[in-house]
Amino acid sequence: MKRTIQILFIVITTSFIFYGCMKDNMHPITEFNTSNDGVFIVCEGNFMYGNASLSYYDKNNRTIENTVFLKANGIPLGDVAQCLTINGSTAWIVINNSGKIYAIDINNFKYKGKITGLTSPRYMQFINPNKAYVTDMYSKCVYIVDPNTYSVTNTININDNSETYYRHSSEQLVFCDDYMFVNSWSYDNKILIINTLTDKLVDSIEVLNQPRKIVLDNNKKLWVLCDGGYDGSSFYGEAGILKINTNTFEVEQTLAFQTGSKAIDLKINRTGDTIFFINNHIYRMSINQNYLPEEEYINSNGHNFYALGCDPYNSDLYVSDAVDYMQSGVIYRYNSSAECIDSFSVGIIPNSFVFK
Amino acid sequence: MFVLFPICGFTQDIYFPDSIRVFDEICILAKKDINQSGVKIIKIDSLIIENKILSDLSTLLSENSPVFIKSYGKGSLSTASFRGTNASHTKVSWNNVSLNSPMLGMVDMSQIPVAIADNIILYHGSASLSKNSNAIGGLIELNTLPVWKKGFRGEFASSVGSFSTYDNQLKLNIGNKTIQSVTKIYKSSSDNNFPFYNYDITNSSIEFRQNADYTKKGFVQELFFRTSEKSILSFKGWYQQSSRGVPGLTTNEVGINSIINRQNGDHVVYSAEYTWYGNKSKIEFTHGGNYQNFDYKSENYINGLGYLKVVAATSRSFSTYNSLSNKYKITDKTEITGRLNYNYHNVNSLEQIYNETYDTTRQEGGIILSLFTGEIKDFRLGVLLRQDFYDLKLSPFIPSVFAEYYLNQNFIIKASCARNYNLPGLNDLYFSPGGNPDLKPEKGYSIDGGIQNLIKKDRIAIQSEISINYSSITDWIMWRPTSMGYWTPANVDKVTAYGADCNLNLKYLISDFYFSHNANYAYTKSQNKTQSDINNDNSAGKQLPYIPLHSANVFSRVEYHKFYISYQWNYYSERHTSSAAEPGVLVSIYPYFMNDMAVGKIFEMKNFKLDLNIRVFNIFNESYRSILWQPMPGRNYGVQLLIKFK
Repeated sequence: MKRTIQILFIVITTSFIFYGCMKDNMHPITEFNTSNDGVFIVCEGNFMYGNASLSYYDKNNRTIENTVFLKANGIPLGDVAQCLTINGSTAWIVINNSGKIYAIDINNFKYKGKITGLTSPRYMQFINPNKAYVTDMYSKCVYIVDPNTYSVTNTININDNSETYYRHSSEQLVFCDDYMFVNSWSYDNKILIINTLTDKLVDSIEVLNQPRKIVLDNNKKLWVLCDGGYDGSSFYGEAGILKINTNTFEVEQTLAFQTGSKAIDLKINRTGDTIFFINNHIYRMSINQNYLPEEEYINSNGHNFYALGCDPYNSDLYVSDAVDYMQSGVIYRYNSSAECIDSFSVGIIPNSFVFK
Repeated sequence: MFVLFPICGFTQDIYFPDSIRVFDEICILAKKDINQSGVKIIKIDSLIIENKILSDLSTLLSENSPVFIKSYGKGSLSTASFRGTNASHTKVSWNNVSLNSPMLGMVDMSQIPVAIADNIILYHGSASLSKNSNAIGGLIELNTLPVWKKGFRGEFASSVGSFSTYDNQLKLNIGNKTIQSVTKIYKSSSDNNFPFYNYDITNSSIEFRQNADYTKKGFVQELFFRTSEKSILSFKGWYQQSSRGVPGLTTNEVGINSIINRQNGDHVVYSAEYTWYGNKSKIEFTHGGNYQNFDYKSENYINGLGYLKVVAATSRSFSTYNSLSNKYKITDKTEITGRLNYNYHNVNSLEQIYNETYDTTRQEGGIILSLFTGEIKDFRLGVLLRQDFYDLKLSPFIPSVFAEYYLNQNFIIKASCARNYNLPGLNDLYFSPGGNPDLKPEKGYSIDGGIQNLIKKDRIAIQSEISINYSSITDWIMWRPTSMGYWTPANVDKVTAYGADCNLNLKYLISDFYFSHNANYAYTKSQNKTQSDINNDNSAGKQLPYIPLHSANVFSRVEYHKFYISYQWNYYSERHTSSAAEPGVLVSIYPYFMNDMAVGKIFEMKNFKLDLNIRVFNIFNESYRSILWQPMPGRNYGVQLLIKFK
């Protein structure tokens, strides 16, 4: 009997050793105070892994700080960080599969507020300091938000009421002469046009399948990168780059890629006269050119190039390598001569660069 | 004779409580088929099966075997990994019918109630080769067995637990010495809306888990006929209907009831078996089928439009499994076995919103020849040759050798070396988006060795086994994201998995106390050895995602004059989620420790036995998760009643 009690005692006390080993709330806080010119790098992470993160690169000192949102606030960013928009001293981070937008201070990365209750938010664009649009993959509307109250004040209906696929989704936003141009990417082939004075959908332009990225050049022409969908899909088509006249809403130029392309990102330089795009390699093209460049600007050399960033203050080009999409990505910084002047590791799937 | 049955029989003279089949397992292992020489096979203790009769296979295996279970929570997706391999390398069969989805290649362990099986056997690595399986990792065999007793018997188990969790099972046996009928009916359901403190968002507070409810209900009918002195014919059928929510992450702030993700399914499995026992041979014929129909939908609430489906996917498959085997005893100590397999799969996958679909069939077959002998004193040796085909293509030829050496009465040394392969699942090949029709079968070889110890003294019985294993698998199939957003599988050049595992089954009497312990430990190193052609890829040499380096569990029970107390302890070391096994809270999960306890009393009467117990899960009320951003319940309770009619 005595031995039995001893054994029971040992079993129970041993189990107490493991009490408290699992802690969900152990995220220490780090204080930041950045004022130098810097670059936010949004790392979207993997869908349903909740491993999105935000990195901050100090351009002058060439130092990188990863997971700054987690470190500054003690909470994870969420699931699939889609984009970041700066307005004044606030950075707005859209967290797609968490249905929210976090607002943080651009210098110390501290939480300021959040907009929640969004279905599948994608991108955010300010019309003025008191009004912004937020696009959404599934809500069939564009949200109008008040950044001062962190609330949705109204919606713009973009439902096409068709039974075909799930339309319209809305993605990137480009503001031009009171019109907001919105690409409808997922299983769609439209550029939607919203009058920002009336907050109404007024027109749409048919483009190639899956318009993925849009930029505006210095001639107020809208450039659209269409990825064409994916091979084997019921919605697979030609991929290419189109140029749209924002006054007439007409497609002026269509440049199709060869079959099997992997067109995934499009950016324009600070002067608005040269576009850069990723199609396996990185290509550079003048806005006046009416054919696709044959030679790559930067060869991928085995990298999985995923996103581009053109520094608006100089001619530096930032390129992200998503590696295998399941580990830390790598950023390369090139100067105007396409020489790599720095590289560093960031979070998983770095998808965009935002310059402070 | 001693070599073949080294210790069977010695347990008959020991006293243990009537209600407990103390040494069944040891006897069966000792009397095991000579065709199972040289390999590691674990039969789950009947006491554990009885203790977890209302659980699912996921819970039972994670707590009582060296198999690692990756679980998203109770009732949610749970997959099994043997020795560092992945979920599709673990095969599960019920009465010789595969439960693996021909589309996914894997089995959701949370959908398999323990109640559908009378015994559960784990075949590690090459041990599965003699079966109708290409299990690189291992095979989990669930079987129902007849008890040729005359009359009516029954068993009723019921439990009520926290978060509106109800589990009920009724089992009825009726028959005589020539015919037996077994009927099982069960239902498990839970709102599973447990409270948790959400540390993962600003303005943290206590929340209730949403959309994690589940229900599964079904029945099993078994008929056994002793058609002659030398033959048995049996029919078994299992039907299950299931429905469950698929909860979101803790970081989600879309809003309560704004997103509904649900999976509903119907599952029908049947098996017909005929066994003929001759003087020197045993002939078995099995025909079985497996129909699976699962719907998955994801709906978002849109203001003004209500709930809109964004995903509406249906997966249907029907598979038949056929085998004919003849085991022939050349001498008393030498057996030769021949086996023919033929399987057919017909699958259909449809996603309605985006009109993505595929519809295909696959044929598989093969021939197995094996020879096992115990002619050399203290040795058992075996060789197995297997040639399979699929869709008129030859699979890699699989030779394997097995050896056992009986060091003395108590120790057996085992070793085996085998090739193996695994076909890509049909979703791997054809799913849209992402399917890769160019995938090759995974091929590998494994080397196993170990020592098994069987000891019985007057009031103690010990069964233990220590094994080491090494597997090298080329063309390992791994799903990875792409630049287009969807995931796609590819053949990774090479993965090696090696490690050691040990298990201990210990039962002893001290005074009037009867102790029973079952412990497992596994060390698993599973690494991607591919020198990637992707620049900056640091995954080479790193532990594969979600495979713990260490895992262990202990189940202990002490019984005293029909009162008993049991304790369950589980442990997994840190797991990583990135391919390069990077550190950090976003890509790794802290070690997992879990403690559960039960206290009960057995009442024995003339015609029935009643077992009533109270259970406490997560007794230290830990706030934890086993998958990133998927909360788990704090301390919770259950009351279980088990009644057996004699």
